Amino acid sequence: MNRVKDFIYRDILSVNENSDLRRVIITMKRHRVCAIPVVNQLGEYIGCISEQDILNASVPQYMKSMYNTSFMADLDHIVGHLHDLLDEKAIKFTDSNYPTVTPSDSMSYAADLLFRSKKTALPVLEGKMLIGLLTRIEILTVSLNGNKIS
Amino acid sequence: MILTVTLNPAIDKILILNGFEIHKLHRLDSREMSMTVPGGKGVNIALNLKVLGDDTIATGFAGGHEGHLLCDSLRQSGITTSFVFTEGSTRTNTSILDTQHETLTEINDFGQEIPEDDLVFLLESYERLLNRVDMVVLAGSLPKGVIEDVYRQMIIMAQGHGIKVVLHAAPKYTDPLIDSGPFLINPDMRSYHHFMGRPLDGIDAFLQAGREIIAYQKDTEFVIFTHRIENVVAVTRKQSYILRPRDLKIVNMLGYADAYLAGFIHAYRQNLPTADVLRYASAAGLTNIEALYKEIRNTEQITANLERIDVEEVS
Repeated sequence: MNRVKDFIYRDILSVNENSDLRRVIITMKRHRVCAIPVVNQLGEYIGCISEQDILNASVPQYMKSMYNTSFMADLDHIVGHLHDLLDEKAIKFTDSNYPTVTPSDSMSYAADLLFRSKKTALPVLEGKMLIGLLTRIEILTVSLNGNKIS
Repeated sequence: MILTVTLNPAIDKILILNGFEIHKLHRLDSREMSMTVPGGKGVNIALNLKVLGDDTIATGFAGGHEGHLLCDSLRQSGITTSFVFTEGSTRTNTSILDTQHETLTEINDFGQEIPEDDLVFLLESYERLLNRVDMVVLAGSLPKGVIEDVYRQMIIMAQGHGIKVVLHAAPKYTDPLIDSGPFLINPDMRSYHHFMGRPLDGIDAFLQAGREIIAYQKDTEFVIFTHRIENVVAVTRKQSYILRPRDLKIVNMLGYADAYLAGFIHAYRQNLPTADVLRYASAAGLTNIEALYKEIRNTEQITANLERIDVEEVS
């Protein structure tokens, strides 16, 4: 059976819960990732911030009521509001329910979780420690090795 | 788990040519080679440690396309990466090894400039990583913009976690750090023969310098001078050692000290007697020198080379 441990993308760069949003965005841009793990001072994983989480937070509250209709938010308002949030702490934008996997999970479980949650990557945890990420492309490449996900 | 810190890593462009000349167009033929591989002292040590079977996290600064190349390549080798990316790009160091004339020409770029906020972010990340490792390697030069005191801060932070620090850098960086008491000091004296504020060369001078450091700093257990390959001098608290390889055939000096230190760390973590740790380290260095690649590929050769290392114990 294919296990997560054999497909981990072993990068563990994270942001601190006290890092500001500016640092989060800079880090995502430079690292070319769409989501970044957030850890506490001890390095224990506490959640993830995705581009979507930041975009959601950048829509001003007064627009949110219109957001679900056909209303298209004005870019200037979003950018302006986001600019005001740059000094806020990462913890404020962290999704602590972001799905995670462990090295011993099966790849079929991980694939199911990834597809259902529509995330681009899942943090791989050993206890409370982040040991890497499981990305969509790793799941797609399982098939290239002549394997079936199971 | 071991943490290697490379604040000024590089992409190594290594050209192995059979007859290098200036003012000439070289087209590589089948006997020649061009390699583009991750580089920088700490990165090289991480690569060697992985070959020896030790799990390693590599951290430092990286940037741009070259930074991604560096990290991708390290992960492919099985190393966990935690590099802080900066606005500037990772430098490229070029080495030309001429097999015909037996010369090595090196051109090292100075690397990206690091803004203060990226350094703060790196130090935060470093402190967290200390919770998951039991040994730290600080190796190589500092990039522009990074305060000279950063290695001292890193040593003190590691010591606060009870973690041993291996320090491998040019005398310019190691000299001011002697009083911070790293576990192992290995000054990189390939191109600069001054250490501790004085000209330093020869077995007796190395022994003297090592003893002075050990007597002065209770936390330092090893002072090792590796750059004179025919007489590697290691000073410890109990005694000193001179290690000499027999019938040395130099093929490529690139990465020698990095392979030596990886060998040292690997053997030290097996709790071997000190003389055996030093013998293994020298055999690792020797294995590296006698092969074309800058990191060890054949670990069985290290074992085979152990008997070629003469160990002299000096009281």
